[in-house]
Amino acid sequence: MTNAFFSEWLKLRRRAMLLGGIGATMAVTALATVVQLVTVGDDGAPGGSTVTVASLQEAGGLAAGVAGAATFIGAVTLTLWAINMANEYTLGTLRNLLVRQPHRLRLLAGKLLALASFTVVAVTLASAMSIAMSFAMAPVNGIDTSAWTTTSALGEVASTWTNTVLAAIGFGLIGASLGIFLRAPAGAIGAGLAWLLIGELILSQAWNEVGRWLPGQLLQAISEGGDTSMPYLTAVTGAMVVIGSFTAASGYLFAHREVAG
Amino acid sequence: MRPMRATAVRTRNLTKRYGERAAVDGLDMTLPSGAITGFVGPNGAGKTTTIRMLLGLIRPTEGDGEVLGRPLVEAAEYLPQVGAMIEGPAFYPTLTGRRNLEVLARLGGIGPAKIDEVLELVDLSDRADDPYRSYSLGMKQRLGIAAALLPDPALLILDEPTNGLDPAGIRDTRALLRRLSDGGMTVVVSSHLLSEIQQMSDHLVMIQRGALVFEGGVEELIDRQPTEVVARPEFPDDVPALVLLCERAGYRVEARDGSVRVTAPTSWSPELNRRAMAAQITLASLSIEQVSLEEAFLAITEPTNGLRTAREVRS
Repeated sequence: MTNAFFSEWLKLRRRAMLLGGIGATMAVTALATVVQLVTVGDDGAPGGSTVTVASLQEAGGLAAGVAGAATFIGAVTLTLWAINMANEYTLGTLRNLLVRQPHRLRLLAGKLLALASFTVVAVTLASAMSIAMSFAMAPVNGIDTSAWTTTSALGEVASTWTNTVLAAIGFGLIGASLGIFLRAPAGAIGAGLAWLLIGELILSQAWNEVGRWLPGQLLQAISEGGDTSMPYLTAVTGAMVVIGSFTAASGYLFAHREVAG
Repeated sequence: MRPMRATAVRTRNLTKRYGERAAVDGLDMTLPSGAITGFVGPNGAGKTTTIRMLLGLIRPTEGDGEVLGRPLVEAAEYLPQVGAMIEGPAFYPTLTGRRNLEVLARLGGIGPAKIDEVLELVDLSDRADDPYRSYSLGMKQRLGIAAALLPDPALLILDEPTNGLDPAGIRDTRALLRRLSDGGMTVVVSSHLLSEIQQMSDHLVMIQRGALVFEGGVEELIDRQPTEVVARPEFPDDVPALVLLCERAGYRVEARDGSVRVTAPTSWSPELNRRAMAAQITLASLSIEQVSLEEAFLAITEPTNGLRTAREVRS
């Protein structure tokens, strides 16, 4: 598994992945941070956001940019993991990998761990950039940043970072599983985004109680640190069951499906 | 020093069915160690399916086999000693050739020093740091061979290794495979270029419709085919008399372009010379035409000649 992990990192280090993965994560985080700081008012921000100037001036305001971008980071992560996994089938490289590492679950575990560590790096860099931009942009709207330099702010940043990483890895696992199921990048990305952005929306509007347990809703609840309708630990447990089952099914398929053509 | 065994690969009744269709149908074959085996058959004969089963990528529907002394179900035990290029080279287009090899070497726990060695072997060192997508078909093919050589394999399986190579590249590949085989490596080459197989193989496995039709030495197959003794009399007017003489000896004869072509064993040519002299026919030339592997292959596999596969004969 260690060999598979480091082997995967040789691929992740390529420019396309650095620009497409880390670059895109940083770009959506930067956009969310800037838009939030520029458009926020005393009564919230456009689009029904509950973030206000007053809430941004609290210790948690320093991490609000990253928290606001969590869903977008999740979409980017889902896309990258889906491409990574499905491309092994479309390029035909999977057969080379399986000849060098015939223990398929070790190969899969190494790949997923490498992708998870890549996501940790991407979210960390995006968070650091968001914090720097928050300090730079705060004066635009007259936001007082004195609470952002306290220990409490550091705790808020750490907690938001953890939640964002967990949610992103959850989205990534959905993408990787779809890549294994469908074996085509476009199909996997299309199915993943359509389900999360459209399918879950329709289902949660129709059946509110059931909708809360859909993977995208659970991951959103995790990224927000839990909410009134879904406590944090319940969301984490639910995501582990739902996404864990989905990942286990794709892992079984990866281990047993024949590799031909 | 790797342990030597007489047989590198053995299959027994190896079968792979997709629904009703049998891609490989009861294949029994034995590939000797330390030799170059040519694995030939028409398109769709089941060569690649067989190779996939040997590499653990697909499971046989029936039958079993052994690779390097281990059963097929224990592919993970023997694959570290196997190098393979199947269905053409497959790499990550944006990575360099070297980085592509690093990915596989790291995965297989192979030291980085081996990468330069195999790049040198396939003469790709000077382009190793260019992206794979910029490679010509021949260079991609050579990188595929380099990747297969990474683990210093006891068994090397190459599917169409000379595809896209220019004549010099083909010659170099042939020499490389011969060198590897002389060093004790077992090489299995699947190809539709029968002239290539004829030049490089010691052993031949020929399959059709998923079943074995021939297994043995290349020369053995060719020797089984009838040769043609071609005699050209000094005077064209002697052709009818020469034809008659050969027919009386019981051979099939054809007169063409002032020559007489007799389907007969090589050993009959001195006798033909003697009989022509006795009949006062002077021969301007007397030669033997041996069939090529391609002709032998067609003779065995052409459906029109009524020959059947070994399995069909058995049943």
